[in-house]
Amino acid sequence: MLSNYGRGTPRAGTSRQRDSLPPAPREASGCRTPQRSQGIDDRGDGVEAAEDETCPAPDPNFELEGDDGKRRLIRHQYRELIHNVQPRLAQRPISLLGSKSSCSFALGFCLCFLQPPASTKVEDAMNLSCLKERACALPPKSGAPLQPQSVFQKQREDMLSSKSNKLTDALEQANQLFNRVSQAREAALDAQFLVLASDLGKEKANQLHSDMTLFDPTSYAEDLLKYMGLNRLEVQESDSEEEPLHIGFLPEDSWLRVGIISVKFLKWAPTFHFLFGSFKTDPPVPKQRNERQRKKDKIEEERAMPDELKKMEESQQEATEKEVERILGLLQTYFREEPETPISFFDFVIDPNSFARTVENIFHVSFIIRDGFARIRLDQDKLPIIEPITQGNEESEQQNTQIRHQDVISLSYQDWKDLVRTFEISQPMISPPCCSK
Amino acid sequence: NTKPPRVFPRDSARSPEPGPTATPPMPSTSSSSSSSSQAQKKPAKRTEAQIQQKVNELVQFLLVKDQKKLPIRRADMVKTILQDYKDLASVIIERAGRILEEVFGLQLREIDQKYHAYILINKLERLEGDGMKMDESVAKMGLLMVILSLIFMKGNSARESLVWDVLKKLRVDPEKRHKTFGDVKKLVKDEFVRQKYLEYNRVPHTEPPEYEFLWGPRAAHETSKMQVLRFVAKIQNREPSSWVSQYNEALQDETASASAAGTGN
Repeated sequence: MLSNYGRGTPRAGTSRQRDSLPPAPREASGCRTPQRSQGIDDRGDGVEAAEDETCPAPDPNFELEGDDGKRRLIRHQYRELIHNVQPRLAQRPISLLGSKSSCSFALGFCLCFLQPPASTKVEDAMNLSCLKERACALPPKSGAPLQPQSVFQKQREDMLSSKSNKLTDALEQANQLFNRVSQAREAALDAQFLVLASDLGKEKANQLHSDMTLFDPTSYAEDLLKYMGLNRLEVQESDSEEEPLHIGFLPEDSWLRVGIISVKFLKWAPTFHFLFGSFKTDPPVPKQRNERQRKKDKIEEERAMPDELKKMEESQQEATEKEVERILGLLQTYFREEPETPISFFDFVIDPNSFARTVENIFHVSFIIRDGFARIRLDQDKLPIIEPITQGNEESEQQNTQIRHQDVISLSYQDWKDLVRTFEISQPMISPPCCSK
Repeated sequence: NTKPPRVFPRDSARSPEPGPTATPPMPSTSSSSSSSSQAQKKPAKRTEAQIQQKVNELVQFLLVKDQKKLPIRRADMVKTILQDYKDLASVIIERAGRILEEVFGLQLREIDQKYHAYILINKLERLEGDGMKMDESVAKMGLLMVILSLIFMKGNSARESLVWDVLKKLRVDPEKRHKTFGDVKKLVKDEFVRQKYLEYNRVPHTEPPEYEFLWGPRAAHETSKMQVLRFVAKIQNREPSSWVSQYNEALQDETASASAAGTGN
């Protein structure tokens, strides 16, 4: 590739003076007009001649427009070149005559195109030259309105092929274009093109390198497969259907075979292991693993927590409610059996077998009292009794609600024991919930 | 290089008290006076047996740590084993390295001068049927060698797409779980990279981004261009010299490393 490049026009090395752009005054002096016309009609060789000519000082207005248009044309041509060397980036189709739209896709340089259009004459000339440019620079198919990715890929492969001179051609075109570059905007495009072209060049050079030495990854892979013990007669059961490429059976230990030979070429220190096994020793990794796990746990917890909490609250509430209802049911059956006799509060709530159940019962009964389904009062012996509120007592109930007050009952373990003994309670009046079910 | 002089080793260490030559140049005078006086007091208290104990612990630590094949950082050695013996770190690491060499046939090499990361490499040649354990870590080395050889043969860098293409031909699909390697993508792009066998970089000026694999520093220590070329030659049943440019490059590499080793000693 390098030799190809060198073989290009003798101008290639000399006239491309990147460090010294033609100074601005020169441009303003009006030397550009004849150049423009020549550049458009006969792009290429005429340019140098035009640069050396002294200009005949034409109409200054036209000159400005012409300069503008010329620069636009140069930019347009640069974008085309850039498009050619990096087809995959520019996936938008290019319409042949829409010079404005076709330029605006390229590489974020769209901003350059915000100027008002120059005279129609210039526009026409530009379009004309675009046509010419395309006719000589692009393969015919690239002019098609819609190009699938594969075509671009193909174009790039063409560019990379060692037989084609397309990259050299593109570089030469850029060289010629640069002769007419006068301002930074065009120079920036030129730089952009060069970056891409040199990347392509590097790839091309790499190809050349491997061509020369005949290293072919495909045949290497084939040889590796042979080494790995590929049996082409046997068909692998699962994957072979989707991928017709994969014919043949590869034994389980195929990679071990490669590994065994590989370690001969590696100064790979055999890893330390305990003869009779050991705890899994993985010092550096577990830290990360733990962190990851913790993170995962956290996320899961965060996700699960609200659900769980709601459930717990609900279920607890439900359980309490159910239990209260159950106890109320029990209380009401006792009342129904003996409507006139009040029940001793202690007899009712104390479970002689369990202090905890007793406390729980008192807790549940307190709801019944609060909701006004029963009331507690002291009998003549100043012992608390629980009695039902019947229809007849409604008045007194209303009275009661007015003077309703809260009490805190304290009951120690010793109290409970004493109560059981004193009242000789042998059986709970409220059966534990598990047994009732 | 700040490595302590090689002269120090056994003889001086064997003497009942490590003389002033035994202390590495670490407690320099540039540090504040209080810390330097502390550092100077400490070595005096330590007996040879205590130091030997630390050396032995470090050897064991290195052997266990090497199971993961991740570079072992000096900071980790200090944190886990050396602790109060930090001032003697260079000495202890060097003595541990010698034990690894003499007893286990391994060599402790510093692969990262900046972060002081060390790896163990094998000094002995592997023999056919040497009875060493053959498990999936050996199979992984096979995969690694294939990738390393691709990188070298393709001019010291291989595009990611090429690597996957070849591996796919070898029935290793990066998108699927492999029965020997598990998550192949992770193994190649993560584990091998962390172990410093491979480097994984973006190719500049590619849009969409493309990535390439290069040799990591560990690969250069554990193998050489010539060895890899011999591996390829063996697989392809040819002479290494049949790949002219790679062969020349490998030869150059060999002479360069030989002369470097010569000057190193």
